[in-house]
This record gives sequence, C-alpha cells and structure tokens, in this order.
Amino acid sequence: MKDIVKIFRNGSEVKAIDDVSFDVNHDEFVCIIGPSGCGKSTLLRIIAGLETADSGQILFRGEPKTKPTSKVTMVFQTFGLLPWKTAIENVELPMEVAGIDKAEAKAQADHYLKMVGLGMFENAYPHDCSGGMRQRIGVARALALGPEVLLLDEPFSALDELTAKSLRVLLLRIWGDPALPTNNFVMVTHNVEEAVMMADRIIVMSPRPGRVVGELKVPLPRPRFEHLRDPLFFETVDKLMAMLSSTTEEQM
Amino acid sequence: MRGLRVVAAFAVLLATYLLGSVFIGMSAVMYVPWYALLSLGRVALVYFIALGVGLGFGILAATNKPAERILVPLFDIGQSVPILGYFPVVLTFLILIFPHGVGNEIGADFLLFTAMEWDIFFGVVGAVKNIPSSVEEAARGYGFTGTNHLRYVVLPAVLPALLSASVLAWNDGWTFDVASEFVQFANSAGVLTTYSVTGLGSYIELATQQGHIAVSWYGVLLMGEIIFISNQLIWHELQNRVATHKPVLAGIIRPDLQSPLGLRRRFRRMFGLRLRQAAQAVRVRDQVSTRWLAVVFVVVLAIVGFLVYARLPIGELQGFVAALTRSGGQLRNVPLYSLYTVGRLFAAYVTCVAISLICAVFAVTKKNFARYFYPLYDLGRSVPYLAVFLPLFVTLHGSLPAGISQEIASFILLMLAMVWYLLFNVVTAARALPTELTEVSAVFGVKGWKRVTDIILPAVLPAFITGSLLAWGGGWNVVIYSEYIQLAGQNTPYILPGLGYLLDNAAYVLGDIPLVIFFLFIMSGIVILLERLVWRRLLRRVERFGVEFN
Repeated sequence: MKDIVKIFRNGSEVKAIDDVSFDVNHDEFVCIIGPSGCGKSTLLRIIAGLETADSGQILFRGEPKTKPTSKVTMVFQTFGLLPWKTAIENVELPMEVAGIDKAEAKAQADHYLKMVGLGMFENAYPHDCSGGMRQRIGVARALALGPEVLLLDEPFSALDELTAKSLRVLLLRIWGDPALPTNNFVMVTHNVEEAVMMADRIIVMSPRPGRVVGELKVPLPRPRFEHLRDPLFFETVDKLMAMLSSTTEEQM
Repeated sequence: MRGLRVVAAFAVLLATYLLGSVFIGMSAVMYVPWYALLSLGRVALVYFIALGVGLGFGILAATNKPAERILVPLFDIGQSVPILGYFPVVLTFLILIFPHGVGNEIGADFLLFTAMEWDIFFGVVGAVKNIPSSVEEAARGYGFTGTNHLRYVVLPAVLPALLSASVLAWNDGWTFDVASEFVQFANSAGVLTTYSVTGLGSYIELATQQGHIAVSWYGVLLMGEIIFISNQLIWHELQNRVATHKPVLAGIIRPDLQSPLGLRRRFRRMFGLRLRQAAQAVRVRDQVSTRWLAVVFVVVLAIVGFLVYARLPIGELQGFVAALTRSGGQLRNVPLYSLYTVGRLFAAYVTCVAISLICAVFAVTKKNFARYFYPLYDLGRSVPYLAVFLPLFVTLHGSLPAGISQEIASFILLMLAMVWYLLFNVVTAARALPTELTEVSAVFGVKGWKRVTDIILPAVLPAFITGSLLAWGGGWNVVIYSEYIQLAGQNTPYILPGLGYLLDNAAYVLGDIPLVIFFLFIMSGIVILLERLVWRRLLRRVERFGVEFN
C-alpha cells in the first residue's frame, strides 16, 4: 500500500494551511507536530474528509479521497463518545451503520473492547468511566471497522501523564500487531517526547500559515520503550526541539 | 446605529397609531397611547419591585442557610401554584379591604408580580451559588466583606442570570397584563361585575366585550409591537453588553456562527445562560429539603378539609342539602374535570413536542436554519397570548359553535404559552451540539434517520425535559384562563369543563372561598406531582447522559 497525502489549502482571508504535501508509506507511523495554530488538526480533518481543502487533494492508494470512508477512521482528542450509549454500544455504532449483522457486530465490539483491556466494562456508560477508559473505548470504536489508516488527534492531551503512558504502549502494540489491518497511523501532537517515542517519521509544521518546515526520521530502534534512556533518544528530542523553536522564532 | 433603532421603533408605533385612526376610527384609538403608557408604567413598576424582592431575598437565600430553608420552599410553592388560579381570591380580598379603585390596582400589580417574581428569584439564587469557589476565596483573601463583597463579587456574578430572568419576567408581565387589568364575571343571580384598571389590556378586553373585534386585534398588535420593541431596545442591548464580560461560554461559540448582526452568537450566549439557569433553578430547589413543603401541605390540607367538610353533616339537613347543591355538588366533578384540563394541556404539549423536535433536527441538518429561526422566535415570543385569547374566541365564534371555538382558542392559547420554552431549549441545544459529535457522525458514517435517533434526539433530551418542565408550568398558568369566559350581555358564561372552570365558578359565581382554596389545592397538587414525579425525575436521570456544553 502506498498512501500519498497532498494538500494545498488557500483560505480566503487567513491561510490556515499553505502548500503542505507529504506521503505516508505502508506500515508507517507518522507524527505531525507543531505549535498551536499551525493547522495540524485541520490537516488531520482534511485527511479524514471532515473538512475540504480549498485546493490540492488527498490521494489514498492513488485515488482522490474527499469524503470519510470506513478505511480511514479517527480517534478524538476529547474522545467523542456518545454519552447515552454504553461502551459496547459506542463501539457497535460504526458497524451498525455499515450494515453488519447485529450478533456479528456485538462479537466484534466485544473482541475490540477486550483488546483495549475493557472486557469487564462493556456495559458501562462513558460518564462512569475514567478518561483513560473513555479513550480506550474511542480506540476500540475506531478499530472496529478494520480501517487501514488510523488518524489520532492529540489522543493523550486530555489525559494525565500516567494514563497517557499506558495508552501509548497500547497504541504501539496495536500498530505493530500483524493480525490487524490497521498499520498506518497518523498522529497529531504537540508533545515532543511523545512524537519521538512513537513515530517512524515526524513532520514539523510552522504556524500562520501552516507549512511543513522539516521532516525527521526517528533513528531509534523498536520496541522504543527499551530505548527511552538512550542518548540517541535525547539527541532526537533535542534536534526536534531545535526545529520547533526555529519555527516560532521565524515569526517573532 | 442605536439612535436609528430607537427612531425606527417610534416610527413603527406612530404608524400603527395613525393607521389605526384611519381604518378603525379616531374615536376608538384616541386614548390608546395613554393606555399603553399606563400599562407600560404598571409592568415596569412591578418589574422593579420584583427585581428588588428577587435580588434581596435571592442573595439572602443563597448566602444564608436558615433563610434558604425557609425562602426556597416558599418561592417554590409560589411558583407551583398557578397564578390565575388564586387571583380571584386575592382580588376579592383586596377589594374588600381597600377602596374600590385602590383594591383593583393592587390586585393587578399583585398578579403581575407573581407572574414575574419566580424567574428572577431562582435566577439570582442559582447565580450566587454558582460563583466559583476560587473567586470567593480570592475575595476573602483580599478582605472583601459586606458591601464590597456584594458590589464587586456578588452583583457582577448575578448580572447575566438576572438579565435573562428579566427578559422572561418582562415578557410574562406583558402576557399577564390583560388578565390583571380586566376581570369580569356574573354571579349566580346573573348580575355582571367588572373589575378593571385602565390600560392597554383592559382596552383590548373591553373592545372585545363590546363586540369591536377589529379594535381588539388592533390592541393586540400594538401590545405585540411594544413587547417586541422593548425586547430589542432594552434587553438585547443589555445582554450584548453583559455578554462581552462572560468568557465562560466561549466553548459554545463557534466562529462559523457569526452573522453580520451577531444575532446567532447573541442567542447562543443567551441560551447558555438560560439553559444553565433553568437546570440550576431545578437543582437549587432539589438541594433544599422539601420536608418543610410537605408539612405545609399537610397543614393546608387539614384546614381546607375542615373548612369544606365541617359544613356538611353538622347542622340541620337543610344546610346540608344547600351545601351540596350550592357548592358541595361541585366536588363530584373534580376527578373528571381534572382529567379534562390535563388532557387539554397534554394535547397542546404533544403538538409542541412534535414541532420542536422537527425543528431540532432541522437545526442540525439545515445550515441556514438559525438565520430564520431566531428572528421568528423573537417575533413569536412577542405575541401576548392571553390578549389573543378572547378576540380569537369571539372571531371563531362568528362562524363556529361556542364550545368548539373555545376549545380551539384554548388549544392555540396553550400552544403559544408552551411552545417557546420547548422550541428555545431544544433548538438551541441542537445548535450547540459539540463539533466533535458532528465529526464522529461523519467519520463513522452515521446518517439520515440513524443520525436523528442516535445522535440528535439523545443530545437534546436534557434540554427537551427542561423545556417540558417549563412548558407545563406555563401551560397550567393559562389553562384556567381559557375555561371560563364571561361576555357582557350574556347571562351565562362560556365554559369548558375543567379545573379552571370549577375554580372560577367557585370564586365568582358561588363566592365560596374554602371551595376555591380546595380546588386550588387540587390543582397545585397535580402540578407539583407532575413536576416531581415526572419532570424532575427524568431530568436527573438524563442529566448524566447529557453532552457537556462547555
């Protein structure tokens, strides 16, 4: 699989995103990082088909993509769960919509909830769940239709650090799981260590207008948890920091 | 810009006046500006009294525990007992103890006061209780006490809620203006009695009584214009000013909602305050122990029971029979007539529910919806529905039988009294649907009917229940009004069988105060039971499933 992502966006008054292009390769984990206002969340929404680019296009397997599809799903910053549905009902929803048989959908939902460690909490409502549990439901829902690309919009920024850590581990495990079709992750973040810990490649954006100002391949071997104390990890973090601070200096 | 709007407003009023003098006749409309000024003065005066009482007692109740335990249930009862139900009793009493004109005026003011007070009081209590503890702590830390605390912390915090409560109070005041200025009934001997005070409301009612239907509709139009103009020039202006100091609701305001007039944004702000306030008022009342309320109820029940039944078997048989035929006979009708009244309310309510849910779906699915909805809402809310009732009945009666005309007029009156609460809450909740949920629907392909049942309706449910609670409250207040019409030149009133008829009949025709209190008690009992057993319970249940608005 080869995903080519390409966006040009010219807003009439404010250029939110200006002439951004990059590819995401098969099996790749890409992070988009940048200071607030650089349009990284908007970019992710354009990829998801939630917003339209004013010019340029998204190519998915060589075909232009403008609308949401079941092949590309999303994990939301504040979870986006329906508060009136239980955990399992939330996960079943996309499958119901796709016309999957009820029993089959239930079995699938059950499977994915177990995968994210919520086998015991299928009938809990979101308001009874902690933030971490809610995001696990959000991840299970996004995986339910077996998408090829998973978009993650600052998925850990509404969580405390300890919870975020365990969710990062979970997501990396899902990404690396050869049994799952979902092996192409695009994550938006503003956390430098997080990006270095998770991504194969990091795309750095600058604000106003949003532009790609650099790209960084993360040289750390996987599994990454075993290399978080390596000097190479800190070097990469420093390098990324330098790229980021140059973007903010530019506009001052 | 502002000056232009004032000039435009007066131009509209002047044009209405001149057109009236041409088409209806100068003699009929000559003194209308004076009547309008009198009504305006009355509503404004009572509003300021209600404001003072609401602020004073509200702040007291919110800051002082013992005061809260007495005041909140007291105001809760005041709110639960339908105003128009006890108006006859109060009016009769006031006219007994004051010279005629003074009693009338105080009666009218009292009715207006009860129409205005509750929103203000509960709005203030809710707002004071909602002052963030960090603000209170900071104020204490910097040594703010007494007047300083009041001036720099409490009053600014209360202001937004006070304003949105004021809008409601002001509109309710105008709506009840007609009922407060003109009361007419015939006693059992058929002798017509009219209590009226001069104003636009009594002008409309008198014209209807004398058969000048065009004049009544003209008065209704003028009253509607005054309500609309005062909303635009006073309240929206003030709300715009206050809203700029409110960062709290920033989360609700999405940039794509800006319009040249800032109209939708403004409504969004208003909505935020309003929805919270309604929910808050319910919560405030829930927090306070209701045991006190129960005790009062038992005591009242005992007294009323004593008054009603003490007269029955004791004494000679003659008295017993007299009691049964004169007043006691009415008691038999209570269960059935209560059902009729509830049925009337229910029919109007179901229609309002259908309208508002359809609008909620459109609010989410149609991009331009808000642009048309809010101005229409503004206009519709300005219709003084109590004033519409009598002319509408007479107009319908021109071509339809009395019973059917009264049923239709009553239905329309109830719809107008109920629909705005539901529409406003439900539609604005639908508009405030968090972006993330909209995105979730798009990403996972939730469309069409599934989107309605799984996303939109559950999302507006808490607002829907809040709206229902308010709508039923509003409905009870006016249903009484619609069940009893006494026109001049008629020996018997037009009636619809119902609790409202029983009440008015007991008060005016029979002059039986204990019976009035008994009916009133039954009515308040139904109101309170419905509110506690149905609406508040539902509200608590769905509140935790609600989406977070900020």
